[in-house]
Amino acid sequence: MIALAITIFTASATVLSGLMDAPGAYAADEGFVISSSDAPTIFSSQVDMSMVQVLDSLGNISGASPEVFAFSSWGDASFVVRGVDLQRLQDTGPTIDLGPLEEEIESLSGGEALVGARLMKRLNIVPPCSIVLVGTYSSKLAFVEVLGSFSSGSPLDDELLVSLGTARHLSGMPEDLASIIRVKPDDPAWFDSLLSPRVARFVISDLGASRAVVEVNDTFQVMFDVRNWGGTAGTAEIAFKIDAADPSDSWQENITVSLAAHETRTVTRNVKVAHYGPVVVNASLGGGFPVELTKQVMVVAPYLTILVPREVLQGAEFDATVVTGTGAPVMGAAVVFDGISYVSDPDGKVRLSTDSTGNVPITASYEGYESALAIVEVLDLASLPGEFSPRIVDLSAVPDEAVEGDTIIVSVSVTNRASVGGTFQVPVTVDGSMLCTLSFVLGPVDQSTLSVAIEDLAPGSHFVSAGPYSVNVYIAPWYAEDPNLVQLVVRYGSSTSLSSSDSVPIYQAAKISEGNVAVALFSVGVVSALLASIAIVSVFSKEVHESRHKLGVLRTVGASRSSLRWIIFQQSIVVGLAGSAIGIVLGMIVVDVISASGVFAIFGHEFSIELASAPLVLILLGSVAISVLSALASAEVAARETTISSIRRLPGTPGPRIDPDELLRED
Amino acid sequence: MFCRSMFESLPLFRYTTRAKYTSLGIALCTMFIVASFLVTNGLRASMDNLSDNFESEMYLVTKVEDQVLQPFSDVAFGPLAQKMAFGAMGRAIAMPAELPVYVFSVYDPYDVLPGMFPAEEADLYVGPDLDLSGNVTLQSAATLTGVVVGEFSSPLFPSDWLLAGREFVGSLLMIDYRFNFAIIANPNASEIASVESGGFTVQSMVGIIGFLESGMRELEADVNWILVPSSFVVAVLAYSFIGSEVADKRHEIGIVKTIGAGRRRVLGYLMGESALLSAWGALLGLALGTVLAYGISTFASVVFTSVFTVKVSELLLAKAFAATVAAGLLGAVIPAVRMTSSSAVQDMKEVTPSS
Repeated sequence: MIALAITIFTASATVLSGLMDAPGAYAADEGFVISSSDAPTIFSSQVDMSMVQVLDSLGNISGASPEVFAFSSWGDASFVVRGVDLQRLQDTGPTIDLGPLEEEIESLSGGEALVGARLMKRLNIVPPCSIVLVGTYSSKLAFVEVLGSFSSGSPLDDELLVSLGTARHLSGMPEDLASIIRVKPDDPAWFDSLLSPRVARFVISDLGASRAVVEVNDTFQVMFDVRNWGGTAGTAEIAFKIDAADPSDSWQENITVSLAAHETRTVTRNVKVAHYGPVVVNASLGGGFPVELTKQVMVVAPYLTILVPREVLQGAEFDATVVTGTGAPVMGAAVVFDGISYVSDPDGKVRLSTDSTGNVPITASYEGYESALAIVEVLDLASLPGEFSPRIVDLSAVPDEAVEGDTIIVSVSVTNRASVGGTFQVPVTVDGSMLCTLSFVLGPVDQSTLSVAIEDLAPGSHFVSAGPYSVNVYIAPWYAEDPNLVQLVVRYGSSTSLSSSDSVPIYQAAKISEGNVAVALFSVGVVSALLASIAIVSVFSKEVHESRHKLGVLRTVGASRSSLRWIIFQQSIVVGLAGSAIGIVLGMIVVDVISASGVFAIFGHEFSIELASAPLVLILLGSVAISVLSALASAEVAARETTISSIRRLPGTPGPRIDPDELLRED
Repeated sequence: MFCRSMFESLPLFRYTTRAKYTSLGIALCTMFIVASFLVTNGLRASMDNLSDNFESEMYLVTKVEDQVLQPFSDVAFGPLAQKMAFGAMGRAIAMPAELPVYVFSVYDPYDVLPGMFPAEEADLYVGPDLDLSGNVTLQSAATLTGVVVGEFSSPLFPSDWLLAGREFVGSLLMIDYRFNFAIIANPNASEIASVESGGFTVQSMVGIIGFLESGMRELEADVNWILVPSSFVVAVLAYSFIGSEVADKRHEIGIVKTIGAGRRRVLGYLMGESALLSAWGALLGLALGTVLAYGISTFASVVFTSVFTVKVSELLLAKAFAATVAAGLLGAVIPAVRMTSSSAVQDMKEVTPSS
């Protein structure tokens, strides 16, 4: 009976431990999983796909596998559909053994799929075959060709693997997002502390200046972001340094910034330099993840620029604008054109015209500024062709080197060197693909510049072309400014959560926190132990109760209570040990049978049931202890009865009851 | 008559302490069963609430034999066809690029589906993510050539599929004017049953509903296993109690046997005692279990952020009660039968200790 009680308890405890391990199913029990920390359920977790590229570039990450979850059904069976890059999954996840295939496959594309061995049995299909899948959250349809089966010894065997595209169609997940990213780091503990830190961790980024070129004694702003991507508040010390050509303009400052967990703040400093030359701005952060950012600003002497058309008609009026190097209009600048002097108005403009032809110089001067010179070509209308003659004269891209995510402004300048105006369409292409068509409306001897913004260029070299002109634009990966792992957390730290595979919040599927289930399972475990204890106590109590007669005889012949306790202790140890050992062995056999039968499943995954040796030892010791204690307790009660009352069950039929009064009555 | 009066004089639960503790032990076991069932039932309620967030208006109808979608006619559905859209889909190779593509057609005379599916004759419409243009030769069961004339847009079908006309797809897949899938809008239960009775499979086109439902069924099936250890302990308790009762009342039962009580009467008495004890413990356990379940849900809801509901079901309570009483009866069988098998003479040799 004790063995039976322990068998039941061992099996129950093992099933409970399997339930606790069930969460690992969605992570397929391997490595680390990045999921979004603010998602209410695992189904709605969305992480940025660009993280995969960053993880690929890190030397201490063996692999990164983006995966998209969908939930579909075929016939009566509902199951998890996992969109994967097969090669990446094989690099990071559990080992996948492919079943027989008609052709070797390295990836899943289009409507191709692989079915897990256990799911294959549930669906009762034999690959190759085709099945129709339905959408997860809205009505959708997909037709997949199951090429073969696979076996991994993990919960993946309960799933259907499809291409990322198919899973995205079924679940509605956007192209740039994934449900989770599985990561295989070389140093899991370090990686865990990196993306899920329990202390304050800081990083600086996005060092920028309000202007790239400034004039002497002109104030410009330098700003950078400080971010605390850790789990608690803290204070960061940033070394800020201005290194100018003239040492008297150089200075440095230690900036202290206090931030709450996951907070970002922008730090701004005003800088003024009194001498010409390059100024290097440096911001650096020490600590476990050091970062150093550098930016250069050019300080120049004040100068003027004249903005004027390249070509004008003879006798036609046109505007020239005098501006400073920073683009501010100059009022009262002295402008000389074709021997005539002018003074610029508050907007820096002067209205000019000339009867001369050919290249005519314009000069502008202003006190304290370097003079400017521009050349205007004055054209004779009669010498111009009478046909609209537009042509592209310039193509520029600003900046021509940028970081991923920056906007590039492409400007196309067109001129019409004719006496007749018209409309000119200029197609702009990027890497041979049409970007847009710019439409220029030009008058006689007119010029115009139009711009278009290009965004979201992928990292690498790109050619922007307009007509016969082309410029090269280079886009560096966003982390190029600081090819350090810390950039990973600047972008993603604290917006995602990093979990080891056994804590992926499967419970979120039911909007129940992991804590709820832990409470429930712990309660179940405690009550199971209590029930097993009750069973053991009950059995031993009964056995000792039935042995009271023997105990009474022993007491009669002189055994003391402590002798009785010693006898019972020995017997209970032997019985308890034997029963517990048999019970544990039987329990493990029962567990193996249950595990092989696959009878326990939760949310699409069968969970494997195993019990480590430590809990088994605990069960053995616990049950022996309970056996001994309950036997001793019952023996104590029994031993307290009087010896006579214990042995009152005498053999033989008792005679008639003797009445002493009757016996003594005198007749 | 005399035997009955003898039985009636035997005090039930003479050893009240023993009966008290045994019934308390049985109550604990029942409490465990009830709390587990109620918590799972609450989880079911949470799942149902979650499922209510997803509406499934459309159902996919297919007919599968030997792992192949079988073609069928819309005539098979009678008047129900007015709620249905029909289509055919299959895999083909687009030449000369040798690109595998999925080709489909839609016949929706009653505007069941959102979006338009205009393809006619040999006109082909590509999905936004399918790079095909001009004349396209498709190889499947047959080989046909069509012309890409535009794009189709539909949330239902993947964006890398190719839409063609009904006749074109029918010829390509060699199923003529038949279809291999249909979509029915807002069917009621009887309509679904009617379609299924024709050998078709009907499934909701929103997979999460079925997934949550099957997940809950799995969990509910898993929870039923709790009956095993709990019932076992109840049986052990009943075994111990009846065993002890028999040991203490052996002499009296021997006397009753001597004066004519049969085995059935003795067995009935002992089993009745066990049933009474188990029923009393079960009732106590039902109450304790309900309180425990509410306690767990309240504690968890306060400490953790999620909602953890408990839902009382009379059926589950009856199940727990019945399981407990049955286990109690089962546990009492061995000592009770042993008692009925022993000889009356041997029984009477045992003298009852003073109570």
